[in-house]
Amino acid sequence: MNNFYEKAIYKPENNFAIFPFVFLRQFADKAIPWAAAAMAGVPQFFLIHRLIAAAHPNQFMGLLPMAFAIPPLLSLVIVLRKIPAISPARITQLAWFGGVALFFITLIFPIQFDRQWITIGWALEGMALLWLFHRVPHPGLRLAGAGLLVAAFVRLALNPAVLEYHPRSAMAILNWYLYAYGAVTVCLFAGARLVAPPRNLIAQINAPPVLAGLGTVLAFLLVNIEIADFFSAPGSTLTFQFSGNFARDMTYSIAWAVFALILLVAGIHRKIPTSRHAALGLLSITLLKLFFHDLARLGQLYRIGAFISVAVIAMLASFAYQRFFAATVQQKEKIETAP
Amino acid sequence: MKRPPKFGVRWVCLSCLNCALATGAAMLPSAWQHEQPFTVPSAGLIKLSLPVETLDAARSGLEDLRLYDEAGNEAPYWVAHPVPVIRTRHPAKSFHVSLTPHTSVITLETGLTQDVDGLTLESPANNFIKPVRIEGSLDREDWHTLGEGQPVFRQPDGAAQLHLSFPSGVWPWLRLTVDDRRSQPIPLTGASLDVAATAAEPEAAEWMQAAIAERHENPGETRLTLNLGAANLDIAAIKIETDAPLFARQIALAVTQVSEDSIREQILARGTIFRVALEGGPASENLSVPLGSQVRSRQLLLFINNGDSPPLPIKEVRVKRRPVYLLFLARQAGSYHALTGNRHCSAPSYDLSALNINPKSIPVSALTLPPPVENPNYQAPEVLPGITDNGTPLDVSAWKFRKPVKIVRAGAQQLELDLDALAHAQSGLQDIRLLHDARQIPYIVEHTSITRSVQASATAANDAKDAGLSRWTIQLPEAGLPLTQLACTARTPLFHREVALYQEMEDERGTKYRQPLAQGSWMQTPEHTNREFVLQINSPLHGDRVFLETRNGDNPPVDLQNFRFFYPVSSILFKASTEEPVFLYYGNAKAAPPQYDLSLVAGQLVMADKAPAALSAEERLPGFAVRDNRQSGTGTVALWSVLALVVVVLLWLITRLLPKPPPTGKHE
Repeated sequence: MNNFYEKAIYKPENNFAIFPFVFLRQFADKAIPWAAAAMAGVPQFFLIHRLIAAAHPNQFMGLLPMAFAIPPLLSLVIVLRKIPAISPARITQLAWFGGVALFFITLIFPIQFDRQWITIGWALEGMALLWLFHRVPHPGLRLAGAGLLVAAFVRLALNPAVLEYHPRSAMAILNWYLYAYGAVTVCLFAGARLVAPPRNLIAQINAPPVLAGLGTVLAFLLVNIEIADFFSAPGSTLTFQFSGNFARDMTYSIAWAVFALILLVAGIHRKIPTSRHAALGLLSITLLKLFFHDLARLGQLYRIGAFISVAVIAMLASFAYQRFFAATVQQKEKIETAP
Repeated sequence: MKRPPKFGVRWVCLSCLNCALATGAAMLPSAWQHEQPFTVPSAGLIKLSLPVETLDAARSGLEDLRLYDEAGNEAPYWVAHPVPVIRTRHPAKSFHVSLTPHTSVITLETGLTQDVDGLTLESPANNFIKPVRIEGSLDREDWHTLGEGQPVFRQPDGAAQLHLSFPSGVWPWLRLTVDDRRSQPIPLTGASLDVAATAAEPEAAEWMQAAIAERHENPGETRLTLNLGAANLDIAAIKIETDAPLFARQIALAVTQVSEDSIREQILARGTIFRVALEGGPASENLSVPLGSQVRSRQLLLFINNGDSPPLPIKEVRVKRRPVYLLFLARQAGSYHALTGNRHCSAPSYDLSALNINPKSIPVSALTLPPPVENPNYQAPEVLPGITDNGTPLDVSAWKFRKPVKIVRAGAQQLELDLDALAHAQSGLQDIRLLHDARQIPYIVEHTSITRSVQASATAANDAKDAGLSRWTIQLPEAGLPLTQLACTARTPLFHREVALYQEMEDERGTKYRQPLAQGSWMQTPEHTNREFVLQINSPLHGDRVFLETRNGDNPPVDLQNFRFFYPVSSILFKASTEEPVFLYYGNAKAAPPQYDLSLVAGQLVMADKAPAALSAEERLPGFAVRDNRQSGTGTVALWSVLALVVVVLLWLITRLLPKPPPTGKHE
């Protein structure tokens, strides 16, 4: 097995990385040799990572992508210095080497973790590519960046296997769910900011609301996972149950209400109707759950307290809606009616 | 006048003759270990029964059996295994049951024109014993009694006897009268009939005694290791001789077999032995269990399911062996040699079609083969020559424990893993390694059904706030033992309790919780003589303390004592080339199971004469101090700081390298 890896690593055929630099003049206006040179390190990285993880497992795996980041950075320097700025292929060459360098740099932290490091790596790389698009305006960077972010979301939100067979985490709240789902959520929101207009259209799709929406869904999922994990029985796996435990049921209701409130505030502040509507929908569901499910289990005194809490949340929501959103509408109408 | 030959000439002639004879003996191939010389008085087709010694010395399929004549020529032969008569079974054409006040009368139409000599009843009832009278009729008018008082029964533990036998005959109608005076009638739903064999080959099987090599009393089960005296015997049945007056037991027969890189016990046959006496009748018994297969090893395992009954006293066990015939054409009278004992030769392929013989038609010769003797030309190959001791080196820094293994003599070894090794190794023994001079010695694991007991100390740990609860804290000698059963003795004469065995676990957040290990319903009545109670443990144990709990309701607490746990014996088989000590390493939670080529010759290792190896005191290795599991996101603060610094520097570098962002609005 090790021989296979050794051959794969040291075979001269695999030294694509230096090929275009040797024939720099001939390949100055080409893209594919440079792309091959930039990508040469990626498969070798995974081979070496597997080799080290199997033969010499250690706690310093983050140093490996750091080492692999150096060749594309050096290549980037050479391209910047040797390839004339007027060359039409230069932007593609920069995009490839910059993208691969960022790939390894963004992998330094995730690879230190045992769980979901590939997904987090995708999300960080996606965000980094969208940032790189600001410096190197190659459309492939934006497409790849957004694609990686969406893929990271799909892996965490639409892949039920992620949540299967995981025992209750070793630590409440500050656990792998927080760093995995949290990091991808942050990347999605950051990605939405990075593709703000005028960089917002990817294949005729307005990317920022899509990425922000995915981030919101992932954040909501994270809130629910953390609650489920917190209340999972010792020695069990992560289980979602919405009845049978009053504290857990109330935590869900309160968390949903708070999430809806934050969503509402964000929607009002950023003037996003979809966010406001989603917040009101979630708040309505929470109130229905509270009224028809949670309150049935409460004693008289607690029921009064719960009603008061519900009333406070509803009033805060309506106040915020009236105070800020109505004012915005009035201001808008004034501007429109002004001569 | 002729002169008599001189003494010198005669001596030379005699010497030549001796040399010729010696040369004849020297012609025997050297790769065969055993030789059985015999003399054929006259030329012709010979059929002789191979003695058990020959079968024992040869390979299981007689692949290494060879015949040589006096001149050293190989003689083709044919091995014949008498085929047992296969009885056919037919369902009854019609089956009617009528109930009378004290009997259930079954009238069935056989629908057969052949001889019938037995039938098997079908019933879903699971706890009954009844005598049956059997009658046969040709016209449903005149009935002839064929059998009286034959027992049929089924016990809750599964022991059952629903077969009835009677003299062979053509009976279109049969009538069975089941006596219901002692117990309620049972539902009888059908019957299948045994057609008697016609033109059957006379049974030539012989009974021989099997020595009881070992006897283990597991909870609820007796495990006998029978030494058949020879390997490769075709066993038709076994018979157990016991003086126990009344009993019924389920029997299982098993052999050890190589399966999935380990050695396990493979059940060959099951049956029921019984001796029952029904009211007013003589005792009826069946002490034999049919087997009908070849047993390749000398050992046969016999399991007797005792349930809650005491173990049976067993006087002896006998096995019924089917003969194996050797047929060959002796071209001339004289000496012949049968050779056996070559592990590597392939089976011979003789062209015997020209002989056109029917082995059944040839009488068995009175010739007998003497016991095998050592072939004088035999050159002994090394034991398990394919297995070398220069295995691959292994870095054992991750292993936590080791024990020196005492080797008494070189060759095949059997090492039983002790409690230390079982407790500290992975549950599937994946981390077991044998090393000699830092190199691995290949081994194969043998999982047996033998159980050994571990005495445990139990203290009452009742809850003062809950008077109806009885709880015992049971302390074990080691943590993480692979225990499978808990047994204890009850002194309270009458009780019925639901008991639960559990262990207390602590998750990574420090929260304690109960993990159930076993539960059961224990009942003690005055008629119930056995005071032993057993719980089957279904989950692995992690700690060295378990708890047994039961609710007493409004009854006084149950008095339990003599707590014992049982664990299955696991051994490893390997070959040691020297008597120098080797080391057994274990205790590495991350070790993957080894993959040795030894499994290819595991059968030879099982068959080999193994020396018992022993383990010495446990030694802790430096790996003991190393933590097992790398936590997600672990690493020192310094490492994280360095990584953060590196990331910042690299990002700064890439920011500096890349050109400044162009004015917005030019991308689209």
